Amino acid sequence: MPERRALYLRYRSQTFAELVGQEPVARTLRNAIAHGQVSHAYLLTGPRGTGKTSTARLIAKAVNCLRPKDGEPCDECEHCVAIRDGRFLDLIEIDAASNRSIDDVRDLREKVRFAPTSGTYKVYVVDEVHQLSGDAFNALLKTLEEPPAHVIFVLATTEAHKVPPTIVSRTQRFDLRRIPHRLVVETLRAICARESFRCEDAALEAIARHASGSLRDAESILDQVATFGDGAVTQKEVADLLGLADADEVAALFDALAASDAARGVALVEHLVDDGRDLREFTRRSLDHSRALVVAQTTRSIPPEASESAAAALERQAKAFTLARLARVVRRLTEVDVELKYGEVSSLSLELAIAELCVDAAPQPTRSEPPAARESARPTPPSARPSPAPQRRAPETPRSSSVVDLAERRAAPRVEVGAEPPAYALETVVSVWSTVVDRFRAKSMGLATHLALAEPVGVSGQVLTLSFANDFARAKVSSDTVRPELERQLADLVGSGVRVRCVLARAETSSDDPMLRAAREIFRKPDRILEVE
Amino acid sequence: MRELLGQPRLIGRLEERLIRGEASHAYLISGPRSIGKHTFALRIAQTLLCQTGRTPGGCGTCLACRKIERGAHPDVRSIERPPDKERISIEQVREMERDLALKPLEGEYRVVIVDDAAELSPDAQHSLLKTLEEPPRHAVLLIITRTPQGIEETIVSRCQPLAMRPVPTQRLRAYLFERTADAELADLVAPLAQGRPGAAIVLAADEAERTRRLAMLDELFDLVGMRLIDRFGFANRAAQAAAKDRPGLEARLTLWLELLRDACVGNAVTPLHPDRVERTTRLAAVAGNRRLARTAALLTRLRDDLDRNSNARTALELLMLDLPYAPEFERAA
Repeated sequence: MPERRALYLRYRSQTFAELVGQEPVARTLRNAIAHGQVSHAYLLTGPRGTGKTSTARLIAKAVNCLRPKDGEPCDECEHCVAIRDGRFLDLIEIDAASNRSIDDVRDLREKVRFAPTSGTYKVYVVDEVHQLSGDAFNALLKTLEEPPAHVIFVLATTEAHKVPPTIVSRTQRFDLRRIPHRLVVETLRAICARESFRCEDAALEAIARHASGSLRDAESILDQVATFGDGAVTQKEVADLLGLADADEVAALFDALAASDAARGVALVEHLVDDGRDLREFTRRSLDHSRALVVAQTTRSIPPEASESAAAALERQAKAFTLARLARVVRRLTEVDVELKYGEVSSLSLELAIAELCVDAAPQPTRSEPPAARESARPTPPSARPSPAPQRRAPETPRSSSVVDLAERRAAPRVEVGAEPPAYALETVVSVWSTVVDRFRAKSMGLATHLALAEPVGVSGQVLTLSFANDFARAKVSSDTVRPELERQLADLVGSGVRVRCVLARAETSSDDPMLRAAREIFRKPDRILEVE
Repeated sequence: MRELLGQPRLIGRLEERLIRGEASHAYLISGPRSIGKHTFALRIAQTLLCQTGRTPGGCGTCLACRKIERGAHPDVRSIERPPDKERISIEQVREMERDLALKPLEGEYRVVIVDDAAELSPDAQHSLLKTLEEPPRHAVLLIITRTPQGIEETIVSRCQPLAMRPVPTQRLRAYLFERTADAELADLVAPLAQGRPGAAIVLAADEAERTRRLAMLDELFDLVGMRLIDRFGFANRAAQAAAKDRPGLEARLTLWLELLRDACVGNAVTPLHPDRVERTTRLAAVAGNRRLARTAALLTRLRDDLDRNSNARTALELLMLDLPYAPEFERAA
């Protein structure tokens, strides 16, 4: 059989110097070992593929090496070679996930007492230590606190929070961090050189991006790409293997969105699916692209690393999108990303998002609701309906049914206002309203709550109309003790004389249509409710 | 590979490698229900152990291939959840690990199939880790799961990913025609299977199920033509049915979503349900794309909520309130 050991096993770090991206940990350990200050127990924690098992083995090597140099194992002597080949008798690796009971730990305690066979120290590496049972951890406590002088424990885990504090406090803890992107790329490049793979920089970049800080993941991908490509590591091979979308396709999606051309966007997704591409990866790239667009738009600069065609696309699209629209795109794509993450594998969610985003570019929506039942289909006489409503909105949606704005029919208080030209803008009042509420909060919590729920709905001359949801609140605020104070505060903030008129929000209380009330509750106060007949 | 649809990219590369004797020690096969994950695993095992050697997917006729198909090959071990248990236990994994340490009996490899890895107990998952990282040289582990997010990251990172994707409808149709020689049936079933060969085979064979699915499609149009009171009656009945048959409700919502998608995107794209194009176009004209996109978004959310076990009746009633109303879809009584 040919060599089929994975790259990540063949390229395990064999010296502290080779350990990638864990400078502080490596230096601390090397110095300690060089000065003979070896701790009796270590705890190594960190995400997958950051070097926990490798570091554990390095500790075993460094303390047992016959010719160490400044705490660094020589990687040549008998002991080092034995450890590398996995046949050193004084390095005992225990898989805590499979041997997790108290009996396993008792067995371990028995064996710990015997002196090392050939090395200076007996090193016990307990991998996945968080899997030990509670009793097993407790049985280990005494041994871990005062082990025989010839024993070193190295505990390793991805889930440090599952290790009891009593264990953690008896060890020296080292947190291995995710390996920086640049170092992953460099390591991959070094491996390519050693294996004489021909590699493209862009390919290594793509691999490192996908691995997000885990060297094992990165090496594993490199392994696959290199074998498929017969020793050539190209951007195309990586994209093929990982199902990556290329930048042009992402740009094409945004062109479709910019043109509000749902059909084109969906056709693109269809093409990706037929091509066996990973839609989640595509969604992620699209999110990256929208971020680049936000940056391009706010700073008016294109990132220098963008390729020529990507820069052109960014420049073109930065003009076509508003920030608000981009925010919507980001929000919707993030939702799609989550849907795709949790098992929704079909292209449907992405297609629908595109359809929705293309539609969203046009002005505000209309809602058509079905009538409650045959008998209540016409709850009010036809004359009450302002008929021009549907034409005013959404002219692009052809509609055979007529649409009636129920809220307008219920004539909210704002309709009554507007006889005199306003002395100040309603918007000003709305913008200072929270300040007003705050000022009252100091006096009375209850009053502040009433005010916070009140809605400034109109200005006529000096008169400000406040709409209240219930009569109790309205009476409270319009009372002679409160209203003058409120008028003073408002005048202060608005900079003009203000008189306050309190009314009851009739739409809220109109009990003639239970359907409308239900709809309001379900949709949590929608802007408007329309009825289709 | 034999009887494995779609996935051309994935399979082409893999075959090459398996035949060169460069099988990785662990693969993670992921993809939606009924897409052929288990079949894929069997084909990999057959490629590795086929007595003719060098036949992608195995010859299917030699003794080794037949034994694997029957689940009787001594070097292929399958770990599944016992029908009376909730999970795959750590004991099952340990037993497998002891077994895996031994040399293969008949071929060059010992193959382990774990189906489905999401059903491994958390302890069992962790006990797999060390074996997955440095297994014996003759070992090939095939881990099957619906989505990698369902299992520990540390397992995923130790395997080579083989992600299976939905099969294009055209391809499904061709396969069904090949199998049944019935063009009409193939046209009918392929759009209902949502890219899953397993589902397509079931639907082609089971007429009752097929009729049920077709009826589900038409329900959406009927609902658009219904007044609220009737809609709520429908929601009530559907919710009661869902108490016994959750997947049925999910399938129904997915089919409706597909119709809404067809309506939203218009004629420029291949429709998912060609037989309903006339009505989806009409629906789009009446209600407007924006309105439908909104309903689709709500439907997606409700489907996710149902997946997390929310109340079916409330979800359906919300949908009833949101669905656009167009009397022209009213069904003549």
